[in-house]
Amino acid sequence: MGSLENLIGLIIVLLTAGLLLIFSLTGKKQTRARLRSLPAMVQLRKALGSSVEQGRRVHLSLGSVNLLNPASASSVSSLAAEDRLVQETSIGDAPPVITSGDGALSILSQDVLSGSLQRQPGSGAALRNQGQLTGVSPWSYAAGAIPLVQDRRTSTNVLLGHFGPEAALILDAAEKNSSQQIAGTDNLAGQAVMYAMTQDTLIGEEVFTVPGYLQPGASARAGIKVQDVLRWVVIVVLLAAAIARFILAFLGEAG
Amino acid sequence: MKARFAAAVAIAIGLIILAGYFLDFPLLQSVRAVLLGWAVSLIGVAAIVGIVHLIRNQWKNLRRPAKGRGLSVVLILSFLITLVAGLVLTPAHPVFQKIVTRIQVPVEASLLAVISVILILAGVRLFQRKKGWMAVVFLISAILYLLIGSGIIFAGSAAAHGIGAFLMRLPVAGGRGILLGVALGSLVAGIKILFGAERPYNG
Repeated sequence: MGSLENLIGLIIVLLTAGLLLIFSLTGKKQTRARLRSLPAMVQLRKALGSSVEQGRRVHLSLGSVNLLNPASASSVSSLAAEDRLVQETSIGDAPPVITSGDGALSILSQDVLSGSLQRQPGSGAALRNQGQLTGVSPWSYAAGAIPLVQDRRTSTNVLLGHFGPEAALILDAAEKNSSQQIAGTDNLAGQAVMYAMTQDTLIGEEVFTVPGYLQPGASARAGIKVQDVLRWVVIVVLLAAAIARFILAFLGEAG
Repeated sequence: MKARFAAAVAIAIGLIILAGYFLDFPLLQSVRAVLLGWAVSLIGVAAIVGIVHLIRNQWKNLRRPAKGRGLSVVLILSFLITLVAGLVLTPAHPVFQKIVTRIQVPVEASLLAVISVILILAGVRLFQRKKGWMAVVFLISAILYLLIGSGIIFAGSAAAHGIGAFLMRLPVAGGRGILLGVALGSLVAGIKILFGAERPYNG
């Protein structure tokens, strides 16, 4: 990588870190922070509440991706959402179940699970075995997750992480089970499948905002605000570049 | 205390790896290379642990009077056969590769065929799930690009071909927009994890 690219990359990272720090500090002073409403998140909150009320369980699916792959970011981010999701639903009769399609992701999901349990001592030791690896390739993972999705005790399926078209198999099984589905991925093919098959889909960067929406606190919300600011920065830069290119082409032709 | 120590180690290593990506100091690069090598080895071990866990779960299923015990038998037998064949022949052996690909590829192709049927049904039911103009746009786009891709429309004259080529660029632009959003999300999530604000581990 060239030194100019390095410098631009470093500036972007430092800018993001600085914005995160600023929003975390200023957010502490605000008693009620406003986040833009995402229909999928509203639906997720309702689904978690109704699962606990019905005494049925939530299935969190983290996707199938190797942690060395850059595409694993959404699955890793979903592990932070797992902590909150487990805390909110472990008080119910049926413990939540977490599935993944990679060995390291599975170990991390069990680690997060045990950490959530340590903070909620009354939730029972039965939860400790609720993090499962259901297959080691995307297709085998989806096929292995289907029996858990079809289980009558499962009322909500949350698909958050890296999924390709194989998400259709899981979502179809969930629909047959009449369970609620909330889905989001960073993969374009997976997003198209999810959009066609679920009522509420997290599109693009929204999949990374789930921990922020579920978790209380200024630092959790700061990430969402930084994403919003950076999105506007990207829009302005793209528009400015397009206009500059148009003007340069126009001047070139005129000259 | 243990959890805090784990978080501190994770954050420190994350910062070293990130700094090594931008700064070209020989010492930093060496440390980064060693740490990344450890990560690769650990992920390999994690894969083995995960597979052992998967087989243990299927073994437990076998001992329970539950539905789907037959599938657990198939999985355990397939695993053992593949493991023994891999150990005896080695994964690079052409016979081993032929056996695996002649089972895995047709199975995955069948699942892809199942998905095409599922997606057709999902397209039919789209308006039950989603209300509003976005569902209409989605469906029209899906049908239009299927037709363009199949060469039925915009295939005759040079002008029609030009219109088809222009339309085919629109999904690329849309896809790039979504990918830019995903990149921003990854960046923010990565930095939050790096600073310990978000912890995808027990810490």
